[in-house]
Amino acid sequence: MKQYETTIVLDAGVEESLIESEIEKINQIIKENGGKIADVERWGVRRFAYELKKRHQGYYIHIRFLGSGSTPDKLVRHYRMDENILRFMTVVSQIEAVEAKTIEKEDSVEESVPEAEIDGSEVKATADTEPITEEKEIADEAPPSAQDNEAGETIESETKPSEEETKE
Amino acid sequence: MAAYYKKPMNKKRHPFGMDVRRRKICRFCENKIDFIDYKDERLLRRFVNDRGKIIGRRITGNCAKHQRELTRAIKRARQLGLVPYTAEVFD
Repeated sequence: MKQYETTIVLDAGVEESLIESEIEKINQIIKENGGKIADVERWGVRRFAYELKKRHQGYYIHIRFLGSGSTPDKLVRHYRMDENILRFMTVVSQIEAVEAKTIEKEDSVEESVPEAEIDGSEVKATADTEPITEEKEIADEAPPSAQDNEAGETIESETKPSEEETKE
Repeated sequence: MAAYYKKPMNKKRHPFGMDVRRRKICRFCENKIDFIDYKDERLLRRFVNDRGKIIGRRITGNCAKHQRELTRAIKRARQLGLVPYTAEVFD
């Protein structure tokens, strides 16, 4: 099971009921293949950077899900058949990969703790404070709308490792 | 000018008298950003010029790894229509 992200673009003037049914169809395909939806994000109507199928704006839906290797293929087949979908893209979620890396890093820090017990606490303390400064720096540079997005992701990546720690 | 002038650390003298520019630091490394999100249109737009072309490493100062990640993110964003492939420049 891998975490994937899929984004579809519908016509901007699409009705709410159709959006619901599109999400439901995708949900069905994912479930049929033994997967699970983690998160559905509606970006709403956005302007295109270029003309896309004679249109200038579209309704974006972004879905993160856990699925087997065959799911993306099934989704693509569905997307191709569906005339309401202007564009689509499914990618392996990078967030997951990054989280796995950070967990590995934290594990290696924990392993080094017994060797230098007194220093270990200091190492942990700095590791805890670092993400906060990171966020600030991002917040300073990133424009307002991008802020929420980035901040949300960093929070996610922070919370997940801590969950795993409690499991252990 | 003050009497005290400290020479910038990385500013070396070129043999032919030209100033060697200080090497820029990769801003992604600086901020410890692990991956560049293709959904972050605002960020990606900063690394694309007004023609829609991806700005080179030489100009932005990104490290190889992050430039690669950035390029991938921009190309993905282009597929979704978030970032332009090309853009007309009127002047």
